[in-house]
Amino acid sequence: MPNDECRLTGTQPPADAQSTIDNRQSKIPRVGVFVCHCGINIAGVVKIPELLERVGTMSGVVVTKDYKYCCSDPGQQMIRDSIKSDKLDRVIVACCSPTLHETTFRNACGEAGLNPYLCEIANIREQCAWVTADKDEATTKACGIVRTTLTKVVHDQPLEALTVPINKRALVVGAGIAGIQAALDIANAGYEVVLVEKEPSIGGHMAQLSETFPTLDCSQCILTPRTVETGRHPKIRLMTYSEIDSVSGYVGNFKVKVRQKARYVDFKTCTGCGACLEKCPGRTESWFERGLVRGKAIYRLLPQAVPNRPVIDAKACIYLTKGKCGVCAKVCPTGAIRYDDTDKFVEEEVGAIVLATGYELFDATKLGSYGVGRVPDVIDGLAFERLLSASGPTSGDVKRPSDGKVPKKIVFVQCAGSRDSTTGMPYCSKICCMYTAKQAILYRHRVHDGQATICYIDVRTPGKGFEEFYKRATDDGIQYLRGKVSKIFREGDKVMVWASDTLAGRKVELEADMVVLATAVVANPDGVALARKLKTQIDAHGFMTEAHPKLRPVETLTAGFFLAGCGQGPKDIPETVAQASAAAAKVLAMFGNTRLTHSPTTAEVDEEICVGCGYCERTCAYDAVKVDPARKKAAVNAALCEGCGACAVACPSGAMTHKNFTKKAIFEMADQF
Amino acid sequence: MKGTLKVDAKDPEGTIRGLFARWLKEDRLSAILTPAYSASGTATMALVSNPEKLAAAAPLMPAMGVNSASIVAEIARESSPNAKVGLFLRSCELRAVVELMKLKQVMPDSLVLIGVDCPGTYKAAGFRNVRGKDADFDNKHVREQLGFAGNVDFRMGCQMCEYPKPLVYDLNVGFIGLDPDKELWVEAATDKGKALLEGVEVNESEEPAGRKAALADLSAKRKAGTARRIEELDKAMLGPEKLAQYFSDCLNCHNCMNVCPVCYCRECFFDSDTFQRDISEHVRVSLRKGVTRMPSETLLFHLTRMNHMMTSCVQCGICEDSCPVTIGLATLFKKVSQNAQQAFEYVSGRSLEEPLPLTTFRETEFLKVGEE
Repeated sequence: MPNDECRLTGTQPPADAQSTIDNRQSKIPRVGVFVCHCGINIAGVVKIPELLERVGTMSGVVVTKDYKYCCSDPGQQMIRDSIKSDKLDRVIVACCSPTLHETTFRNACGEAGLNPYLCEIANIREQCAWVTADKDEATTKACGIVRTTLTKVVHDQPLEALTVPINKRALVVGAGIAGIQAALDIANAGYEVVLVEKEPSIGGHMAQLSETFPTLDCSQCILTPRTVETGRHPKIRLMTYSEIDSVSGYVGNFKVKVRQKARYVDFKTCTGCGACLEKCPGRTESWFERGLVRGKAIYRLLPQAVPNRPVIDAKACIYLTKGKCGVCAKVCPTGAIRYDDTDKFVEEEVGAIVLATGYELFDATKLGSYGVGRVPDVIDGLAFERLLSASGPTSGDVKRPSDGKVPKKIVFVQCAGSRDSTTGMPYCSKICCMYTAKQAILYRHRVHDGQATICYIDVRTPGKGFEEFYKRATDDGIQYLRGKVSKIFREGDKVMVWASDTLAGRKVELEADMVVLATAVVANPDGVALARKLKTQIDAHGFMTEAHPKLRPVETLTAGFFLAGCGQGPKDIPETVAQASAAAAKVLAMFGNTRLTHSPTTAEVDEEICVGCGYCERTCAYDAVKVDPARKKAAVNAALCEGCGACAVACPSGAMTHKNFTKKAIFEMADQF
Repeated sequence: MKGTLKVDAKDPEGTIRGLFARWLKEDRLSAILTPAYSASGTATMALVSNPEKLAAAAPLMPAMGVNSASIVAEIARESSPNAKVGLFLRSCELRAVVELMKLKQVMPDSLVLIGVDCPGTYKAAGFRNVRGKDADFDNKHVREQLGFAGNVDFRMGCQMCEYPKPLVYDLNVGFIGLDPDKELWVEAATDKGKALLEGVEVNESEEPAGRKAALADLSAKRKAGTARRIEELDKAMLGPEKLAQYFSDCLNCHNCMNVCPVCYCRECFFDSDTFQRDISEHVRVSLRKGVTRMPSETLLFHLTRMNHMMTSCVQCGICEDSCPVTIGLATLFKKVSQNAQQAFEYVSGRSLEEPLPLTTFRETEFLKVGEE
């Protein structure tokens, strides 16, 4: 095949000749191309000698070298040496994806005195060798990829990495066990933490649980030491009954506006004596008790609440809705009731944000055939936790909601919503197999002659001590019935469950006193709304997306945002705590620097051309571009810009460009094929 | 507020001029941008501020040289709260003004949008001959209502226009479906519009059934005609080779871009140095194919313009009128923009609130492309 690229130039021009490649550049570039074999990953398919020969004839290329593993120390040394000896001012490494080793090779170039942004990666592994079978085709394709990269690299300008100062304070959103753990880890390292929780007290769903699998230790007993420590930690600023209103700024320098909801109780004056709780006549649904009992208008979630201060639900309070009553104010010994309280806004400045927004259980009333809402004795897993809990509405006695009788037969239904594409939740909720086994065991502890049947699809026990725990359940006489439940309905004072027994190959009808559904774990809707507001990525089910599923599991693609707990996906307590500590470690690693570096390949605006139409501003996912309405010019906040290029694509006139991704370079690259 | 307005002396255009005079005299508007006759007797636009000089204004003139949204973009780029300019414009022009407002190229605060029914217009070039010496041509034109749908002398954009009545306006003046010698139909949609009708003798009533039917009928006939034209276009243009051929006469003059009311860039990307190549690059490209068409990149220019304009294109067809080699741009842009806008459930210029399709995202869009 003739080499088009050398037809015009003929022979290799000397280093000081005037360029014909780019008339804006006075000096012809001296490019070195280093081809990596990647063992046989590349060399097994691409004919390396032929590639080197063809690349060697390309205009601007002064040296070509190959090596078995360029990313190894000798490989990097070869590049460093060549930069010096061959006086290279541009480097191309033809190897694997830039997501893997771009930083490696750019650093190597930097060490040899070449600006790192004058080094480009030609991906001939993932985009060529791995996806092309024919050796000749692969070689030609690799040649094309290098030629295209060569076109880009000659347009590249030297850039300096940006640095920004770091405000070494962290914000943790959500004070369930994930948020508590992350906040404690960061605070114990000596940094201030703002911990924001939407409920009046901290602890999240873990505070609702009775005992935890697979050790059966009391949830409250292991949680309360953490909540107490959080409440009194000098480095933690706890803001309960508060929500994130807005976040602006960028990594290291966020400005957060927190809305502190009206509590109608002065936390400083209140002593938490509880006199108001006794006397309040207002009634409302209790979120915490999962609707098993009616709560009061002035309430705290649990006796061990941190902070141990009640708040008033304005919608249920008789005084606030009708102007009469005022009992709480009358009985309060310290005069802490404030009926004129309003929402307050507090501004906080932080450098990193941990999103620990948690989960909710899927609204099982949407599973029509399971009778939730119509049959009072069909409840979900969290409600059953409250029935088992010593601090719950029945003080730990298992009594069914309809008539308070002790249920002698309970059917547990697994995968209620999960692993079902028709409900939109095709994923496994991960914790249900274990907590259902636990609930059945605990039920049998409470009701010795009780009969527990668990309808399941598969039992999944991938955790330390999990399989042994499942064995304990089956040994305890708990009946496991493999098959999906089709219908649950009421007959007299019984709850009937239609299911299939797929092992016996028959349909079964089970009679029960009560049914407990292991409803699907879904991302907390408030967390989803927050993620949307912060423009951080969520997946199709509302769970926040990590930057890389394997290698960056607690970071997000937005710099400075970290993930912990079920907001990222269903997980149990040990996993949640581990992830929270990992997120804290990431925050601390960031706080270990004095300044943060930021890639300089950001967008920039040519003000001569910009007409301020705002397409860029409205397409930017990072709030990095703003149009000044008076001047009608867009401006890029380089510290916020992640260099995704969306604005440059949206800009019709080309006023918005991307450093080292100029449209001219891209057009010329496209022209190479 | 809506109702009929009595027409004096069988002169609807004169009656509208009377409204103009009142608004200017009473200082409700500081000036009015209106169609007018040029000194040589063809279509132009005028900004009238002196009520004594309204004779030049021809609010019902059935000819169009530019889409006046371009003029509005020039005069109302900055907001100036003191001026109050009435824009007496046709449907396609107002739709373009709305798009430009969304693109922040027109500041709405000093403008009052006064729409007028437009059954179709002739090209400005040659209009002198169509009109001849008939001083009452404009009024006669609005009387001939049955001929609107099938008039093949209209601009191609007008022949395909589905919106003879403006979509967004403060005040609209209509005549389609009425006897314009006797009455006009006025409709104020906003407080600004109502303020203009204050003191004007309007017989308030519901929109006459005859008007609704006439508008619907005109729209339906135009849609049928458009479908037929797009079918013919598909035969002539679909496929990469035919597409290249469709544009093969292009002179690269960029007239279509210059006259486009919503093509708003200060400097076109195609005039930037991105496309400035030295001779060796041109030769390299030529070497690859043996022969390359010059001027180069004309097809890319048109494809890019389609790409940039498809969601905001108001399908006025002024691009085709300005093309020196008569490339069928009106039908092409009709097809492209209609398809793109349907995909986003968007109609350019339909509403000021509707976000521009490319700046927003619905979770349900394009389900068929990805996983359903």
